[in-house]
Amino acid sequence: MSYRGNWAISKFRPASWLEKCGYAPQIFVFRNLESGQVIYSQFPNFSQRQIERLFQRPNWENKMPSARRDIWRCMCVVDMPNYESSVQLYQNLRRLRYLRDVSNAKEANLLRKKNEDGNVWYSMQYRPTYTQEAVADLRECLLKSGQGANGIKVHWEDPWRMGDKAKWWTPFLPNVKHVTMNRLGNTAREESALLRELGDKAKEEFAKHKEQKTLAASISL
Amino acid sequence: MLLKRCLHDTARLAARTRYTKPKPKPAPREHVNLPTQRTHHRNDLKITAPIPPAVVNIQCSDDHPLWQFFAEKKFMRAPEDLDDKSRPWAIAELRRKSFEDLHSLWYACLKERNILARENHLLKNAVGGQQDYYENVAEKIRTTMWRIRHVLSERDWSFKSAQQDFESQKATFVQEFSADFLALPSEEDEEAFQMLSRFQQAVYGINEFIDENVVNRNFVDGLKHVATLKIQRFATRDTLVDNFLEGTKERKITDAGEAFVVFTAENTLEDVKEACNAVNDLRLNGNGVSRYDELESVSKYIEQLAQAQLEKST
Amino acid sequence: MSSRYGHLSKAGERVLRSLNNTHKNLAARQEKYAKISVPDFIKPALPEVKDHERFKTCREWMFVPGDRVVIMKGKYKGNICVVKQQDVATNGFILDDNGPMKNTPVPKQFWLEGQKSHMISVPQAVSQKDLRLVADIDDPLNAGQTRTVAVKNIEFKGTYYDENYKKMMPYRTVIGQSDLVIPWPKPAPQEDGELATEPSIAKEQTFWVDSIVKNPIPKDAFMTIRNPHSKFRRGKLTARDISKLVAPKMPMTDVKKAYIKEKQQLASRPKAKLTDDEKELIGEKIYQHLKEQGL
Repeated sequence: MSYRGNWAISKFRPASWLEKCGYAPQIFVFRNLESGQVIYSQFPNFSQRQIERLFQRPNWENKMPSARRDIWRCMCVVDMPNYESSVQLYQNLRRLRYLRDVSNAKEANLLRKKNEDGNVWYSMQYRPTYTQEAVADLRECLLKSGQGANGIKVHWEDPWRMGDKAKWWTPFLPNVKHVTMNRLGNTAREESALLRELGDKAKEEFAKHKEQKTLAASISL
Repeated sequence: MLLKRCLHDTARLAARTRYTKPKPKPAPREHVNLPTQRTHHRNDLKITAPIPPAVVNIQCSDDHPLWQFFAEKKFMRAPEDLDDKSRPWAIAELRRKSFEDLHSLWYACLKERNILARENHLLKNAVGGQQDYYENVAEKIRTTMWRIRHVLSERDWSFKSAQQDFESQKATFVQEFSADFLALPSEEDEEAFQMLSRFQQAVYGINEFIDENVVNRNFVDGLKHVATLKIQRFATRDTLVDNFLEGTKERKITDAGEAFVVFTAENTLEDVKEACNAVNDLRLNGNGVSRYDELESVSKYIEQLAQAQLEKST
Repeated sequence: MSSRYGHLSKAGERVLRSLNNTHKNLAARQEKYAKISVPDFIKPALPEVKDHERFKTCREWMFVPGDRVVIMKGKYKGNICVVKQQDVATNGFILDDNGPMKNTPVPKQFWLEGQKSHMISVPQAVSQKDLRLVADIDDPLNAGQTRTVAVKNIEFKGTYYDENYKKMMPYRTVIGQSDLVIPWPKPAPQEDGELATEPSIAKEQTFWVDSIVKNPIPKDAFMTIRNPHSKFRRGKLTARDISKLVAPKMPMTDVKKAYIKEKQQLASRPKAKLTDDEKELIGEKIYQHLKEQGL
């Protein structure tokens, strides 16, 4: 490992690679405890290169965050029905980030809550808008994921952060399942183990699903 | 001019006329390796407004421990709802209360102060107020709390100084009590033995609840003295007991084991006689307790007695 | 939400308090401007008094809410009013409708319920020296009848437990006539607060001394009742406290350091010891010398 972080996870990975290397069809969202910024990852961890890719227009309000592992926490994990859709979700999330930061930056800025000086509302280093935007982006991606968002499961670290469920989620995405991640014990320290457990479960689920599919196919034959 | 130099594309396009024959399409290849990455981001993605977090999703049970920081589950009480009329407990009132009462009062105060401190913090920060109405009530409760500590501390000092003073007066007190106890007529046996039980608790710390006792030198001495008093009381009424007492050194019980047997006997003549016989048996068998391991053996007896009582009760 | 913790910590409190200590030459001017800046409907009729001058006991107040008083001075002279409230900030008394009133405009956000006009009449506080107590006493001329009189001055003698106020109160008597007691007025009945304890429970005795051997307080409680290691105990100084209180040692100058070094060097020189041969030689010399002297 160089200072650039883990090389294996620093690149964009296609579905076949993820499957071959034993990853689950999942997308991981991490949030920064200091600044409230959010990164998306295809893996249960992240690297400096991913951060550089995601924050293309850093400025004084949206600084390039550091890759210190202690200030990042998993905000949610999205289980997708298959590897292709998980890759697509990752692409969509990255695209939306690009739209917010680069191409439609002005429009995105209009939607943010401002303080009395007209800047993005903040307290010390913390700007809650980035986390809230990530939730909105995730919702937008799931809305556009096709097939009524069947078989999608979102594990939230805190149900508080997902927004009003009855207002934003249930009427639009009735098929998406929302689960709260295990919060017993020192979850900050045990995070990698927790994520691994989630990944194992998701893989099992995927295998079962696949088996059923092949079974169904054989019956029809 | 045909040989004029042209750009590569232009030259080729220029060469294509309607007379040139289009090339045949290549035949579809059989074994084609599809690209590994075929998905692409969608082009109809829209930026939407940020979704603020919502408390609605969180279910809080009614018995959540943090509710103890709230009064009637209110965010903040209005100043009219506060109790600004009551006064703190006076020291004289607290002096009458047992340790258990003071202990629970302390925690009642602490809980109320926690609530008030929370509300005061919100008033000063979230609301931006400068008023002191929460603090004023909390200050009164704080007064009660330091008074509780004061009373307990004072109680401890007075206990210690009383203990010190009693050292010099213990012998005369015990003597006086023994005389009074033995002088009571046999009709007033019940009162006499109640007196004795208060006396053993006061001077030797022998509690009627067996498991609360702490065995030390004072306790064993008390055991011997109380047993002697018991025997002496019945000695005038029965020759057997009197003979037994005659058999002891200076008409006193000096063995801890014997004292324990007499002490545990009921306060009736029959039981005391039985105890005397048991002690005589002990002596015949030579089962005495040495002066050097009195404490250990007595604590063992006490343990056994407590165990037996526990078994009986269950 | 900005967080301020001034109510939790006393850090910086002395500095903040010192900001209020204005120079005595500036005090009058500051007061004047403070008065100008306060809107009319909040402006007190009497000057505010300092904290230590405020009345605290009923001996100082002399009149309590419910007392009847007569105004001795000003436009309302001779009016008999009932004391409604004690004004803590000014040591004054707020009287009922017979007392002095001021018509003043009030901004709409401060309107009371049912108020229809900007102008309302606000009662003005009256100072103690402009009031006299009014009492009904037995008429010495017509036996069995009472007369309403104003008492020139009152004094306090002895104390008794007042059932209405639920505390010890002094007897209020006419000065020079100590048998003429003017009773304190009966206060409006109050409900017990929710933190209050029932008197029967408060009075019940649950502590009894029953043993000289067993301490009534469990051993584990002592660390919270009387902590011997508490930093608030007198004479408890930590190393940090001492380092704060004791001035640091003055560093030595270079010259001094050099001097000490030289001293050490000189002290550490090997000491020459006289060998036997040398002693012999010296003895010889002396002997020779004395011999030459002819001794």
